[in-house]
Amino acid sequence: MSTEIQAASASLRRAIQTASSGLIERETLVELIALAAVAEEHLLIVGPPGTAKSEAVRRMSRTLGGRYFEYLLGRFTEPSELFGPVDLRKLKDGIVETETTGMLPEAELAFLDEVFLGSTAILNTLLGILNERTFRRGHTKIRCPLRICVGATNDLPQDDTLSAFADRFLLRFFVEPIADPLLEELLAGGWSLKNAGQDAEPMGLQHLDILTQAARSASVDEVRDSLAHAIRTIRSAGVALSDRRAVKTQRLIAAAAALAGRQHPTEADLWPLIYAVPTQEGQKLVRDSLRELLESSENPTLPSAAEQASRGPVARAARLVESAQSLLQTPPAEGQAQRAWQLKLEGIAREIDAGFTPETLPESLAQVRAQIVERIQRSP
Amino acid sequence: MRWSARWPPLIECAVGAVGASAQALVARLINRETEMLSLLRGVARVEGDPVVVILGDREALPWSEGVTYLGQPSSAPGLLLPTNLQPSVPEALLERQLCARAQPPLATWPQGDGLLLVPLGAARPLSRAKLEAFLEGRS
Repeated sequence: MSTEIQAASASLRRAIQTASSGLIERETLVELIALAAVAEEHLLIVGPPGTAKSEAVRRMSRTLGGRYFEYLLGRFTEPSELFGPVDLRKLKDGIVETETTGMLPEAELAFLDEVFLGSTAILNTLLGILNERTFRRGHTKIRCPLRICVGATNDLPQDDTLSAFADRFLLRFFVEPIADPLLEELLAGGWSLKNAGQDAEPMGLQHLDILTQAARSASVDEVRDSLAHAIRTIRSAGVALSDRRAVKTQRLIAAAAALAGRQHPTEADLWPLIYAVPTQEGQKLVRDSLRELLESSENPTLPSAAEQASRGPVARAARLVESAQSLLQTPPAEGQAQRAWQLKLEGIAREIDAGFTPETLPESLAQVRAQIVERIQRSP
Repeated sequence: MRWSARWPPLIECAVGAVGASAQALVARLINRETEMLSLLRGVARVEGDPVVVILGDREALPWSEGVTYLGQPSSAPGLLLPTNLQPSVPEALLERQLCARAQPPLATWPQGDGLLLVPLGAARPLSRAKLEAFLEGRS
C-alpha cells in the first residue's frame, strides 16, 4: 500500500477515535459513517429517539471537516428549508432558481433526521441528490459535492412508495439503547460529552479523497466468486437482497479493502455485506449463515464494524489489542480514576480469557494480555 | 469426552476456579467495593481442593489468572459450560447425563482428566464475611 494511502487511513482512524471518544457502544456507527464516505454510499440509522444517532454523525462530521448540513424533517417541512429559497429577483424574470448557499445541495456531509417524514416533493428531489449527486429544481441544476448522506428514522418505513427512496441508503445500522450494565459508563461519558472533539483539528476531506480513489481503482475480481456464493446463501436463507444492493455491495467491499491497506479485496473484506442487508432480522440471519465465510474478517481502521459484522475471532482479537493498547498508554493518576481504569483493564482480560483458549490466542493478543496481567498484578 | 475450541464463545455469566486460582479469585474480590459485590452471587466448596463459582452479569464478573469463564448454551440451559470450549458430545445429552447425577443448574468444566461438577442451587449473594470465611477454609 502506498504511504499516501497509509497516512490517509491512519488519519481517518484518528478521526474515528476522536469522534467516538465518550460515546458508549457507538464505535461501529462512527466507523460505518467513515466506510460509507469512502465508498460514496449513504447510511441509514434505525433506532429509537435518544440513542446518540445525531450526536455520532455530528461528531464525525466535525472531525472529518467539510461543509455539513443537518435537518430534522417533519410532515410540514417545506422544500426550501432543505434546498434553499427560490431566488425572488430571478423569479420576477420568470426564472425559477434556488438560492442554495449553505443548504443541502452544497453540503459535503448531510444528516437528515426522520428522513421518511419528508413530503413527496422533498423525497423526489432528494432521490436525485442521493443517486446522481445532482440537484434539480425548476431552472436550477447543479452538481452536488455530497460525500455521504446519513438518514435517521425510528422505524423502517412500511409504505411501499417509500421503499424506492429507502433503497438509496445502501448501509443500514440498527441502534438499541445502552444495556443496563453500561449505564455508569453512559452517564460518565455523557457528562463529558458536551465539548468533546470541538477543539480537534478536522482531518480534512483530502484524506477521504485519497481513500475513495484507492477504493475506486481496486479490483474485486478475486472475491467475486465468494461474494456471489455469499449472496446465494443469503437468498436461500430467505433474506431479500435486491440486485442493485448486491452489485453496490462491491463498492463497500472495495472501500473496506482500501481502509485495511489492501490494494485489492480479499475474503477479509466481505463483512460490509452484513450492513447491506435491509432489515435487522435479516442481518442477524445472514451473520449466522455466513459465519464461516466471514471468519477471517479484519480491518485495522474499522475494527468494531468488522467485528460486529462477522463476530469473527480475527476481528475480535484486533479490536481487543487496540482497546488494550489505548488503555495501557493512558494510565490515570491515583484515586478513583485509577480504580475505574484498572477495572477496564480487567474487563479486557476477562474478554480475552472468555473468548480464546491458550491454543487459539493470537500472538499479538497474547503479548497484550501479558502486559495487562503485569499491570493488574502490580496494583493492590 | 473431549473438548475443542468454541467460536463464537458463549456470553460469560459466571466464573469458576479451583485450588490456588480459587483463592486468588476470592482474594481479588475481597478488595472490591461493597456495591460491586452486591451484584454477584456465589457458591463454594472448601473441603479438599477449594472450588468457587461466582455468578453475575458479564461486566460485573471479576478477572483473575487461571479462572474459567462459564456461559449458558441455548441447547442445554441447565448447564454452565466453559465459554471458549465445546464438548464432543451434544450439549443436550451432556445436560441429561449430568442432571441425573446432581440437581440443575450445574456448572461444569474440564479439570485434569475429568469433569468438575458444581451444583449452583445454593448460590447466595456475596459478602465480605463469606469471602473471608472461604479464604480461611471455613464454609
